[in-house]
Amino acid sequence: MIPLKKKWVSHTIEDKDEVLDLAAQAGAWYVYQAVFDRSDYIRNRIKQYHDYGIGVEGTILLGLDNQTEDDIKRLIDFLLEINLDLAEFTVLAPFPHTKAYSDLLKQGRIFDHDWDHYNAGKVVYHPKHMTAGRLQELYHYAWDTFYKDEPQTQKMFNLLATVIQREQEDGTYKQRRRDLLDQSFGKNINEVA
Amino acid sequence: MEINPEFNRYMDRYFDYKGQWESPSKCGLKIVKRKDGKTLAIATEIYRQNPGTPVTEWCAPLASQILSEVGENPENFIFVEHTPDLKSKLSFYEETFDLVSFDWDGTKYENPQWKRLSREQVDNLMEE
Repeated sequence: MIPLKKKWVSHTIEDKDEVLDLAAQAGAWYVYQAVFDRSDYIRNRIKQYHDYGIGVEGTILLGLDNQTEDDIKRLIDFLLEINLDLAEFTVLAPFPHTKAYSDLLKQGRIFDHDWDHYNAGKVVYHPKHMTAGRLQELYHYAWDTFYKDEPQTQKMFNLLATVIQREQEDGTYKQRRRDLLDQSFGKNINEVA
Repeated sequence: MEINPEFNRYMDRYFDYKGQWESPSKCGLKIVKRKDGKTLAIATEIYRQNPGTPVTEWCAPLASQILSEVGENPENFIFVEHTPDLKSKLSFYEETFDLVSFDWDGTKYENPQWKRLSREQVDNLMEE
């Protein structure tokens, strides 16, 4: 892919230096990486991506049975400390037909069966180490705290600016087509009733 | 994810049932006629080999269907749910057994309640 000079995003990339080096040369500029604890493994993983110029959006699942309130707060501090580029927080959504749903059902911990609430942002079960209400508060606390000093749009812009700079350097940058600004699915959005 | 072959100790055959929205569903099944005259049914979740509703989510209708098939009285029927060890790195895929108790409404089971059992407790249930 290197000669094609494409720029792409992906899920995790193997943590071998030679693979990351080739991925970066081939155009990887952003990955989606699960961050599940505050281990050196995660710290090094993020640093390794950054060393190759690859941005990282972390996906962070809150409300697991091994997490206390203190764990969640420390995890958010950790994300800021390791300079994660973007973070997406979710609460555990025990979707039907998953082991999580079966386990929580057996334990009598699911209190909300309104599927509209199974959106990974609403707590529908009793967490092990805190109340459902407290986990809901921590979910909002996580978003607010991570993006307190620099909003999500700014952080995303930082990543985009980096890739645009690379495209300008290798001559692949194309300006956005202004004539398509008002177009959606082939129609002018200003004319849609 | 393959089923641990050891689970055959708790499964003699597959059992087909109608799951949610009558979806074709399948579990492992072992029926034990106990010395005290009661019938023990062990229903095993077979994960990817089950094309329909998981055992846990459908255990009351499933137990009712098995009860009907074995022709037992509800008060002489013991239902155990089994999830086999999938040899996964994820701890929640370890082997578990749960004794499931129900309310009987005169025609079918409802309101399942689960109580975790050890393998030894299940073995004892099979031999009583």
